[in-house]
Amino acid sequence: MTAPRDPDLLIRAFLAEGQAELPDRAYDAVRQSVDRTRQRVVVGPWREPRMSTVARVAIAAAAVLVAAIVGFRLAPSSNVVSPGPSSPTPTASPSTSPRPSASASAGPLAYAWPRTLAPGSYSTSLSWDPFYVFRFTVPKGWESRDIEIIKSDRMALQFYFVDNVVVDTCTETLKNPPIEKFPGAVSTALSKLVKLTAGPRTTTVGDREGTYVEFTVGPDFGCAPSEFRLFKLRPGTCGEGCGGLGPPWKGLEFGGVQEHNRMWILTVGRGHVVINAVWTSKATAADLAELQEVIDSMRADTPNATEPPHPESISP
Amino acid sequence: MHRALVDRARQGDGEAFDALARVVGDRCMAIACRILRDADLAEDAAQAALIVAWRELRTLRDPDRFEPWLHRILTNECYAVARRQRRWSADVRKLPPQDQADSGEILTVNDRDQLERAFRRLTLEQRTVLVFHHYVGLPLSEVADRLDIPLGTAKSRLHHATAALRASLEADARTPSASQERLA
Repeated sequence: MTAPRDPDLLIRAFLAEGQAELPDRAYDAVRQSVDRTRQRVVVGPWREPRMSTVARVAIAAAAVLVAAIVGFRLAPSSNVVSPGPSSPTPTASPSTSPRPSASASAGPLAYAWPRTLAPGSYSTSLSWDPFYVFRFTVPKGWESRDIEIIKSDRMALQFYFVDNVVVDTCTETLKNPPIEKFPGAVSTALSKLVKLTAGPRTTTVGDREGTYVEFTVGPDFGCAPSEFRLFKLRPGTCGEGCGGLGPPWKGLEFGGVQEHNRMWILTVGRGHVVINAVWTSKATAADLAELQEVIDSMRADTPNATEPPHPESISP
Repeated sequence: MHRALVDRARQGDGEAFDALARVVGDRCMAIACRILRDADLAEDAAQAALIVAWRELRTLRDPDRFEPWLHRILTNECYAVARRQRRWSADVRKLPPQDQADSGEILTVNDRDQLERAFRRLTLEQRTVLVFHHYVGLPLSEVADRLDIPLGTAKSRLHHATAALRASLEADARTPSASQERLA
């Protein structure tokens, strides 16, 4: 006589059978899609599932009030002149007619590090803050890293928040009290650390007041290149285990070689946003022309608010 | 356990998402296979779910809930794939049994055949609850949450699905091959 069989056991045994591995071709297809698909950006307060109609209307109304997108072109005002012609440099003056903005349907976010960027348009949030989004167009050969895009180890375009400035470029001792949140605070502090070759000059970038400076550091740094410091950056918010971000300092980009910097420092409610073009003396005229093209292609989308929301309202 | 990868992927790190996909992809395939009873369709559904997950990852509020969130997407993709199969085909493809030693001694050939037929007569929604409860091993409350359905609905679907499968095991004879098996 056979023992009675447990139907649930049989059902589980039946369900245990079957394929349990996704083929490699599917993983490859996913990877290809990831490379060409932009993540949907969510800005503003999170919506609860199954929200009531009243709550939906209220949030929509608030969004209309606060979040008007302002696109602006990264080109200093006309009172900025380019430095002397001793070495080729990207010009700071804008072109006579506005360049068309980068494609609105920007490609994948640039902040996957490191990643080679195919030629095209990209959008990237600023130091992982989804509230500050820059768009730009790059030709072949650029790579994205944590706070920058870089090419050929000769030139880079960086985006970051400055939290504070050091008091000495060879220490990590920060200014105390910290730099204040008014236009010019960063450039004033910077002028005590390095010799400015242009500026500080007031400029307006889009709807933001800012300061423009140029400076060169090296080859004599006064300390090991790895110890050279300028700014303390706002830490990234990508969470635990987010390796590869690097220390939250702005120092040298290219190691122990002379570096030229062109810096736009924008003052926003929460602090100072920097867009920094950096290149070495090995950059050719063609390199610099290309860097200028990328700068000229930049557009920024920021909410048209006098004070951006505090971090608490932005989900990481 | 995948928190770090999820966090990085939410910041646009494709490499992190690729690694994350390889951690969760096989399980997605396994679940989809058991819901759809077709490896090709399951592959389509799992692949589509991962792509949607990448695209929508920033809408995930709690990174610790990544897998439940992904399973909800996967379920929707299974339903979508099944709906695209417009008619039942007489060429019903059986899944190749794996890990036969794990279940072969429990299931007879007849059991397997009866269960397969009965399973295919279930609705997709019933199959899904059955798979998440009996294969993935989730309590019904979690199944209901994962599928975004009321607990009572989950209970009802599980009850009907289980009853149908039990009845098939108790049947004395095979049903005719022209039985109405459904994909959706």
